[in-house]
Amino acid sequence: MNWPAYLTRRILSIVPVVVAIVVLAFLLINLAPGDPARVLAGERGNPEYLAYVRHKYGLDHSMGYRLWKYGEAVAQGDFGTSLAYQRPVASLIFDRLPATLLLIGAAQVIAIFGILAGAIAGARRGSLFDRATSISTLVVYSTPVFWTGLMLIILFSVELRWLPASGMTSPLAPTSGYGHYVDVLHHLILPAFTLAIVWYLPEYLRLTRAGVIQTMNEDFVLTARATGLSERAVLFRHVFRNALLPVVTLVGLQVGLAISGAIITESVFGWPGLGRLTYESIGTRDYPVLLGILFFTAISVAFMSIVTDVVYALLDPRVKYA
Amino acid sequence: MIDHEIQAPAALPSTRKGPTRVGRGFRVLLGRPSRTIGIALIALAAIAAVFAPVVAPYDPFALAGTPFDHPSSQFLLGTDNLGRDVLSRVIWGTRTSLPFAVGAAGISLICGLTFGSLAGYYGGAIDHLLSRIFEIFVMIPMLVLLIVVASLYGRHLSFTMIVIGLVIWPANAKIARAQVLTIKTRGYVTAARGAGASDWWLLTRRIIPNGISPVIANSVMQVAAALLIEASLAFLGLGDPNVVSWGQMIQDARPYLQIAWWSAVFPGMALALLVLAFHLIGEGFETEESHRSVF
Repeated sequence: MNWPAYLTRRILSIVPVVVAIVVLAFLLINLAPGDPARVLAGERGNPEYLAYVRHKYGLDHSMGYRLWKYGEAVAQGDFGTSLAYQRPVASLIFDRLPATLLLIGAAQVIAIFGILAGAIAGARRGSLFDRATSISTLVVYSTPVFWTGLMLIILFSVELRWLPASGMTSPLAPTSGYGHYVDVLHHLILPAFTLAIVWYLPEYLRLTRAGVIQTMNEDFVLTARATGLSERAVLFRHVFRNALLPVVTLVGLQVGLAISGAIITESVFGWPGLGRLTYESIGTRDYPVLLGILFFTAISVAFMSIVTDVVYALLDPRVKYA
Repeated sequence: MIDHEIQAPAALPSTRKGPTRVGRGFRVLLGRPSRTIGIALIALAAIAAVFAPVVAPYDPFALAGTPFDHPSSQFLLGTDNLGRDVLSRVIWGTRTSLPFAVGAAGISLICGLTFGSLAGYYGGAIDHLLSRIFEIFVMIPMLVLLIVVASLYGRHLSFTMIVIGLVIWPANAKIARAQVLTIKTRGYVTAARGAGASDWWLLTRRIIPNGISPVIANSVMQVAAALLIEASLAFLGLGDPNVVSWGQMIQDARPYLQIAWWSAVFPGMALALLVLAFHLIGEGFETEESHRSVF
């Protein structure tokens, strides 16, 4: 495979997506009721700042010119200034990003159990284990993530007092070193577990299970069995490897879209990441931040789709992107 | 042609036999106990929604008792922080959730079926355009978009419903397109075309009726997704202030978890049961698409 050419083409393919999102954000601002300058400068913005924003985005000019100015600013990584924090939106987002990545990463680690359980359930289709995992994950999958988070808070924080209900650190805990890591981990358990069991684990389990069941019916599995391999060897060397391919795609897509789950989970647990920032910005009507997060998440999803395709191509030699 | 006949997707009901279309539909729906449970739950919610003023013991907005009353014979599910009856509010909540979610999924179904069928049937430029649109829509995290829209344009339930429908339809279009592509080469379609049937007749009488079931299945899952989105927006403080919403109830109850767990527990249970009901029905159709990815 010609990797440089493939990667270039794949990266260029997200250009229309980015352009579409710029146009969408532009339309959202400009079609909103009221003055678009007020949207970007805040409802209580002073006259000088209002005039500055008006000039910067060419708001006295035609729509076409305004779109051009807006696209120009975004292309330079300028997503405007947060009204509540009085800071550039981009730096605010990057400040909050590590906490969100930690939360999503931890949730993914927990959700790996869904892949394992799905593989076992698929291999033992119809067994008690299969039915129990399918039903219980479907039930949890049907609950709203914020409600499940609150229920876990009632159980583990209010009643049992095992885990902290909110935040990332305790006020009296050490701020560096081993003690700090333990403190953060302690705070991480509930939100990561909530996000994992409601958002990721059920989907991974279902897809892995379906993949294993489908692969078990393939001819090469029959051939492998006919050569006298043990059932365990057939499952591990032939079935699971092939069944995991679609899961890779889902994991990639989920990591990109995880921000939606993270927004709600962080709002419940006061986890200081992008989701919490979104929640605060709703309250303070900080439109530049909300639009910046919309951009950022859409571009992360696009980026993750490329990463997923590349991983998929590395794993499956049949895939040709020539 | 014969090849295509053999490769009919498993999700399609047989086109050859069966009593009547309606009879077959009922048999498919009631075939599994899980689906019967799903239908029963939805029926219950629908009855609660239609007859809410009759069934609910109190006015959902009235301060019927004292705040934080425990569940009792007078207030079966207790009262909330303002002394409103939780049971009545749970019942009235179906009036908000159910029409909202079904409406959003309905808009998505109509748009998806129309554009997907046209793209699959005619191919060419419209097909190309649809693929591009789908690629873009799938990248936009819906919850974030809805947060921006609701913040900028106000928190009207019907407006949010339309926006959701207009964002999630490409998933239906993609499925409808694939179905039309398979079915349009079948023997009975080519035969009818040979006999002089028009494109419109072929699409509406032969192709769509035979290929619609995976699209319906996905729409059922989209109802579940829309239910969760409405509640999530309300929980984030972007719900319509003029209606009773389960998500809003849970948000209101949040500061008082330690003293009045019931006002958060029951609305969440009602929502989870209704979402589960739609999942149980959609489940049986065995679609491989990931439905929450539109969220």
